[in-house]
Amino acid sequence: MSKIELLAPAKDKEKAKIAIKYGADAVYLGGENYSLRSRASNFSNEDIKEIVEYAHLRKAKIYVTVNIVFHDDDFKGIKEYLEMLYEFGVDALIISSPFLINYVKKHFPKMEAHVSTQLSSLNSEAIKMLKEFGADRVVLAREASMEEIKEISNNSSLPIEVFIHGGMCANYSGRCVMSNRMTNRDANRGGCAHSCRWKYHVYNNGVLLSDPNNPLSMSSKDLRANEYIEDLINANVASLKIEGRMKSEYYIAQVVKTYRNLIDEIYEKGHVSSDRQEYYTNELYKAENRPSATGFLSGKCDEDKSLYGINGAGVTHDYVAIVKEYDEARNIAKIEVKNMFDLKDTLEVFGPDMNNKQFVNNMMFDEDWHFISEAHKPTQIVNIRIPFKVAKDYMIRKVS
Amino acid sequence: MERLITLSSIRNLNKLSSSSCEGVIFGSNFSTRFNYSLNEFEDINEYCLKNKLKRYVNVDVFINERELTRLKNYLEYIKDKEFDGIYFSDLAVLSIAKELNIEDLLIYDPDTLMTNTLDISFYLKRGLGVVLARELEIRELLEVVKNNPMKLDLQVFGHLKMASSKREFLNNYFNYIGVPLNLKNMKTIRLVEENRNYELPIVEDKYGTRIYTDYCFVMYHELAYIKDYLKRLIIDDNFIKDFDVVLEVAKDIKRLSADNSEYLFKMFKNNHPYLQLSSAYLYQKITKKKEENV
Repeated sequence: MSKIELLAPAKDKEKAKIAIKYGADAVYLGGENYSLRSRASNFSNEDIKEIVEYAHLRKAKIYVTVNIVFHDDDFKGIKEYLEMLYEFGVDALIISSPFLINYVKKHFPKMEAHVSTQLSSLNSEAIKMLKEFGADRVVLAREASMEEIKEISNNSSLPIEVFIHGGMCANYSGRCVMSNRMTNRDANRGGCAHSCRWKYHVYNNGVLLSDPNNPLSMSSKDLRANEYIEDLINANVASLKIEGRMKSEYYIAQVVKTYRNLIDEIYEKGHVSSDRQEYYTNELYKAENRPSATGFLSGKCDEDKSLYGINGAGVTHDYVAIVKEYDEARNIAKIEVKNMFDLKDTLEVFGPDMNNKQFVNNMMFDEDWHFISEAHKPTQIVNIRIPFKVAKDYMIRKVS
Repeated sequence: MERLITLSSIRNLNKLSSSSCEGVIFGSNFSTRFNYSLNEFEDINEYCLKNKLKRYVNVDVFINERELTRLKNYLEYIKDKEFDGIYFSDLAVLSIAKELNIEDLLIYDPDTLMTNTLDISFYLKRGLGVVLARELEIRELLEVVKNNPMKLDLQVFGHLKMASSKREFLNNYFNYIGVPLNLKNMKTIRLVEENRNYELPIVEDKYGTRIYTDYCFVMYHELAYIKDYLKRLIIDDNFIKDFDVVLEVAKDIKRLSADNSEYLFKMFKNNHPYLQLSSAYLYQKITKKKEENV
């Protein structure tokens, strides 16, 4: 049985490289068309080719999303696009159209067809039909408990992929058009306005039932499944999927690294203690931009797994810089500033092959080697003294 | 062309006859739309048989792994009752129906998804019926119907389902604010978004929550041109207080033509001024991406 796959999202090629560097076995991304997350689809055709080559050199895979719910006009150019992706060596497509699943299998046998969560698959009989259609893998809907996933996996005729982290739709994926009605934006073709996260008053026969100062929201906490990774591995799930094609490089690095370490520890030791789980939970909190919970994995999604009073995702300001270069002889790192920090701040570095390490920022220069006491401009290049070895793409966050 | 009326309340059963419509849609197990007991289900079934009305059962829930055996038992029961059609949403129904050799009864209705000719043909070629997605624009609708004459179903009246969730939004919220309320199966609850003024019907039950359009979809003019190219027309009575309204729609559809559609629609509007009618997505300019909607 091969090792479970860790599948990470990427909005652009820099983030794809970060994901692979930090331990993802595969990355999924969207091209400029045909992808559900329109604002997260920043891969030109050339970018896709480049990242496929990059990934394959590092034994990682690339999956491209072609997962919109197609209208007739949307199919324009699809044949040529799929031929191009096949030529590039893309490993799989994530698809919601049964016609396309079948088409890909017939014409591009070396490129897998993975069924998108948009088809809301929740049982082995549905998977059996999807296999008949030509699918190679099914991304399960998020509405399954861990017990249900075990049973599905046991009975499934195809490998299954399970979401383990990130944003959750309030409604069954692919079956929601609230955005269409409320904003004229098509939820199933990349335009979802997240109407579920807005605030609503509740009436019964014209009488207000809800609290006028605290209206209803259908918003969900993000999913965090670190406590279930062991169970998912034991259930022979094929792939663990992190949601977040809109997310920052910091988020991707921190989340991928944490799950990478967790998966490797489980394979090495067979089990992870509750202390270690607590450690991994705290590591994931460092990247959190919305409160998180276990979703449907632990059973029903009650009010503790819902989000009230908060609309959008928060942005962490703890992430302060990314390493560009490191001069080991002088212990000086050239870094790009992401958020404000000052001299005397305690900073923490993490990297794909390094555990978290803290240091006090006691020496800082600008690009012209003038001493400075603050770094307050994002994209500013700064040289700081880091008393241990670091490398390109290591990330730095503020501790205090 | 068959006119099918959904039966939300058994109180209205006696109003149905073969002169009012060709068939009835109802359900019991595995239906988010109907929750008749098995006894009521049997009563409706017998009434339809006696009155020569076709019977279509709604099996629209998402099926959990543990329910597959029970689903199979239910489909075997449906097979024994010789129903005329089964509306379904989860592909598990197709898989089991194949085993039972009743896939020719199946009509795929995932609410959305059936938005293009290729996917629709994919299912039609397998001998299934298909209900067109509710969010199609008129141009798309006409094209798809033209390319598949007498093969497709369409909801032509009623509130449209916008979202379906396994979560209990109402229960969760009222627990959160410390005011536990049991609002299950109530059809009178409405949501109003804080910056908008229209009321969205919301229904919560053992399967979760469903949210519908504030308006009642209607398409007299367009239907005049395409009704004879459609296989089944679904007239949905969900949230319609007066069942006579759906009977009137069914009656109008039968005599609808290009010459009289405007008149009939005007009369219908005058008869029911309280109904918030809309052509829904037919003429709505829907953008695909956030950037387009400036």
